[in-house]
Amino acid sequence: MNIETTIMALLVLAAVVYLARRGASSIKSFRENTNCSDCGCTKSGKEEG
Amino acid sequence: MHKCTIPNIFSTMKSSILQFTPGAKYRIEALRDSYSYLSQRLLSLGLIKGAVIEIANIAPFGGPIEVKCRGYNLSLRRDELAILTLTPFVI
Amino acid sequence: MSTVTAVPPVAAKARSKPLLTALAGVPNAGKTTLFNALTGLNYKVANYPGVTVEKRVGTCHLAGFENIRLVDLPGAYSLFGGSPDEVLAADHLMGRLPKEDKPDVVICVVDACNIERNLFLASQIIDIGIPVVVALNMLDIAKTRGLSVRKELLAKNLGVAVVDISGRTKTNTDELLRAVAKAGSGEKRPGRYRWCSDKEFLDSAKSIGRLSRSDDTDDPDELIGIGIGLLSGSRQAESAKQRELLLAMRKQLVEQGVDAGAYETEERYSWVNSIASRSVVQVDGTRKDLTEKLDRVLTHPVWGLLIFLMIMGTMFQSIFTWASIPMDFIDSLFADVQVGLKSIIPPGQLQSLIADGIVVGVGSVLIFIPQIAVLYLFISVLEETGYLSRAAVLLDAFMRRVGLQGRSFIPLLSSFACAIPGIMATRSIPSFSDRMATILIAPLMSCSARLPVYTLLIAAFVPRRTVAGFLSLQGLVFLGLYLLGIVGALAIAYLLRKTVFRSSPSHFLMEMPPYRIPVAGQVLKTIWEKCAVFVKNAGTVILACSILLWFLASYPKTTDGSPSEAVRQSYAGQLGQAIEPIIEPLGYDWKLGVSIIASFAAREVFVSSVALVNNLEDVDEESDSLIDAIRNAKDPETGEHSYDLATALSLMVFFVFACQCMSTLAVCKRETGGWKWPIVMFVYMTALAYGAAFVTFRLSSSLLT
Repeated sequence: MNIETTIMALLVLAAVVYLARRGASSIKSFRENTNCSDCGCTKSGKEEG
Repeated sequence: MHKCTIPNIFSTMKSSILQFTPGAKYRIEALRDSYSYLSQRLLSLGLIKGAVIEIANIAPFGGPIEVKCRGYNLSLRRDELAILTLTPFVI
Repeated sequence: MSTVTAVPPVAAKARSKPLLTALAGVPNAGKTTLFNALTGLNYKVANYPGVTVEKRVGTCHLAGFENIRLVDLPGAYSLFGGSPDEVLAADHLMGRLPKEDKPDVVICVVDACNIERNLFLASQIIDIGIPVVVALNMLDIAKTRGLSVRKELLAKNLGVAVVDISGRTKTNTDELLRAVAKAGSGEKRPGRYRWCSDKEFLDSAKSIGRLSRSDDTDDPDELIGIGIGLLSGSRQAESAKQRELLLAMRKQLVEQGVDAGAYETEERYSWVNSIASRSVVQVDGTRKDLTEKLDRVLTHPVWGLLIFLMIMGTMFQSIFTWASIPMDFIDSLFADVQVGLKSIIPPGQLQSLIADGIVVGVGSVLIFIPQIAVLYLFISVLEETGYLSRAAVLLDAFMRRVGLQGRSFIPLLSSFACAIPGIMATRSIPSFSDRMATILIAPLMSCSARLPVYTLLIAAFVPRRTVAGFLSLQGLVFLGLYLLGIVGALAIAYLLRKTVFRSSPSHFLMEMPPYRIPVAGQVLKTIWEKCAVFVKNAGTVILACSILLWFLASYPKTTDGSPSEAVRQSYAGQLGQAIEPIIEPLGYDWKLGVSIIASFAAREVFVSSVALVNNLEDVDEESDSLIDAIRNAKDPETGEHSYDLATALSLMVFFVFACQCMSTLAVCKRETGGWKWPIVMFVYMTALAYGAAFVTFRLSSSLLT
């Protein structure tokens, strides 16, 4: 295993782990009705009479 | 000049058709069912007995009417405006 | 927590906990801006339990005084109005919420330009009995209208401290906090019920209030408050005896020619008017009627609609055309990066991962930053000018026909950027069925994530022609996709109104704020923030997906055959082939199948995925532009082009309707409080997507060949 293959394997692993965690927290916030921070929107809409 | 008519069925006098034209002023005489949600809304905004409103704009196709009251503008549908009993206000 | 200082006697009273201060006021009076100025970054946002109303809680400090804990309440026109926001604000102030403490002090923000109705609310708040400080806002704007406010007179008449906070300078906020601390020290309580000059009325209210058993109090002021609440209808009678007394009192009022339900409001306003007429002076006769003049044109039956359509049309055309130059630039930039990387990193797996996977995957999405920027430019400018309220008025009559209302327009327009803030913005729609219908159709407003997909497919397959001399065909197709979403949405709304949501009352009643010139800084800030989120998203989710996809499409490796055969036999290829039978009627092959599956992680990933799969298949070493690659993709067996216009159109239609965003479903669940509606959303959209794509493919195949 040369260094390039190692780096590649690490990157792939990191990607898988990241996506898995992201998916899990997504499902969690889905179930618990908390704010999902995916798209970064914190505004909840204008106040109206 | 575009006009619109709504029947004023809440006047204690005989039914009359009110013609709304932009610039016309009206005095509010009463509100129908002051305990309803809509009435309480209008009341808290200042549309009470004695207040004067001015017709600002009329939206097309039977849409909402913009009225000026106490220095700000409000848009309401014709049936919402109809809960007010209005008499023309002449300075 | 408290610092006991020797100098001002006010702070000598030691407190065990921070001074709990509530920020109240009419909507758009400037509460939230004041809150931000006072707390800076020290605040948290949370929901009131059980409802979708937000509250912000933060802390602020004033040197020499104790900490102040600030709660930003929802805006309310009246404490006795029925809307969820108003009920919550009222309950919080009166200490009726189980999990919230009753505030020690209330800051009531008053907009000097609309002083009467702001003071109306202030008078209700004063009646609660908590110390009040009035924060007078927008005096600068009032000045431009020729109005001048006499603060001291106002303070004297109201019986509370009045502080000028216009412009939110440090001196102002310090003065405000000092007034708050002073009010909280308990020296002086405001006089309540000043608006009621009729002593008999107050006595009767007290006696009715005494009959209430749910509030345990002997305080005469509290009893009066209860009584008034009963009379005006904001509280329900608890016992038969109370009801009897109530009816008698109402009858008495009617006999005196008074409308019982309106009595309190009328008296309050009459008091407020007299204060206002004494404290607010029209110094200069000139008033700005610009708003009205503009409205005459903008809500005009003919011109108003035309202008509206023009604005919308321009917006969509520009998204497509204006952005093309920067897009080409970024595209060639990434092509260069790819070539450069290939020369640095020795050939092999890593090179393939980085150059073919990451650069292609992420680059193909970052190309679309200019389009996102243009989209947000339009939306935020329209929002800032105040035009959107007028658009809601123009559209109300029309939208009522399909079971929506004018107010739905604003959330739906928001949804063109992203459905999530759009769905949250539906909180401004009071009617349940109107709100539900708007939520359910919001995702059909083609969101910014679909932009890359539309653009890629149009650029690759729609011929570069002009129609009628100046309109680009590509731009028209682009516009057509948006229109398709809109038409579909209206149809669904109509169906919903006819079936599921029979009539539930709906009110329009919107305030038309005065027009403003958008602040360039604010607009640019918004655009920057949104683009940053887009890039962050690309850098994380899309990057990870690209890496994963690359892996799935590159392994297991085959030693024989062409690169395209290698992809076909990879994990990704196998997955694609597995679903091929389902998607074949829509005109897609397994490669597109892979990309469609991937796009459920994020719609933009579709583009990355197509880029990736085709790049990996590339026979020659030069990196083709993505558009050429997809156009020239050939079926290895037959040698014919894999994709044609029919497939492209079918794909575009699919993306218009398909429900591919988990986050949207999550927000839907949160805002509607259950699983039912998100499931409905997913099911109907998927069915619609499949059906429409099928029809499109069949129709265009037969019409185009």
